[in-house]
Amino acid sequence: MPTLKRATTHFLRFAIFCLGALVLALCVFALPSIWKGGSEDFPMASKAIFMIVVNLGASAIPFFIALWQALKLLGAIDKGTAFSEASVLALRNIKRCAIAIAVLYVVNVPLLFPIADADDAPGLLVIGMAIAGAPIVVAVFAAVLERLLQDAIVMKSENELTV
Amino acid sequence: MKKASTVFLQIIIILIGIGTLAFLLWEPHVEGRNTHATLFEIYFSDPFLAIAYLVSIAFFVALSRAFRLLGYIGRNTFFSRESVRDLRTIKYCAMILVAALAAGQTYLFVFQRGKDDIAGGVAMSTFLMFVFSVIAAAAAVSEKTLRSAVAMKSENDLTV
Repeated sequence: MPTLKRATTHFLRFAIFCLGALVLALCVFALPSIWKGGSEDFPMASKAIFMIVVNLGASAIPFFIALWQALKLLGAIDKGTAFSEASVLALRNIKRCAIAIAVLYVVNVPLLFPIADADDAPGLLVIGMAIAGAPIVVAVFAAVLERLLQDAIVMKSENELTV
Repeated sequence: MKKASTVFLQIIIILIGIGTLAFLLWEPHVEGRNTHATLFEIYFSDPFLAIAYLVSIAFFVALSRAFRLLGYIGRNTFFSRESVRDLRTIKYCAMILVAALAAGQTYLFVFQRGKDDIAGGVAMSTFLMFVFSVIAAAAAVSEKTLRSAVAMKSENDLTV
């Protein structure tokens, strides 16, 4: 059984690396072309587009920190030390990173206004808000897991005291 | 606080469910083969669609189990055998979805390639296979971790 458990955590590690590579590629290739193409199509909103691109690039930093913390969690699971303060800390960091990303995305929503105005597409704001909602869901989920993990650690320490 | 967060996540799950259901019901209307079809023909003349709807049951079962798990967390009964079972169901549902997508992709490659442009279907099913296999792996890891926590708890309950 331990080998199977290893296989699943290795697969999750692989998935984390895929996500990291994808976001890195987006930062390197997509963001510059958003800036270039966007400011050509909407010259009146070019300042807003620049700030959005900077914001998106900045949000990659907490994203990579969160991925790194997720790798630490997987390592703890492999070593059988999932119920530890280190795991709680990793989850708390993931929560903080998700909140940071949510804040950056929420800041982007008013910046979308000049573009939506120039393109006469108010739906853009709804899409911006929906994208800002995703990291909020992740943050709440991480917070719930953090609480559960704390409960489990209390249980574990009771165990060790009684035995 | 805990209760509020789990209820929030439960609302998100309901929204995902409604969104998926709406997408599944709406999508056949934009298929090229249905340009001149009546409402009845759209839904009842395509065996591929029937299979897709059948397989989608696994997705909704997994969503309902996730909803139930959040309920356990809110009621502080998460560390229980029921939670382990629900996580296992989610794992199996994700596996069924991956297998079904793989079968669908095989069908595209074997029977549709050359006759039709399959790039879009292959790209989407590859992406979804990645998503569902990550969900399956995450559910498997949490199931094992939770199982050890439940074992710990039952020892606790025996000793106290």
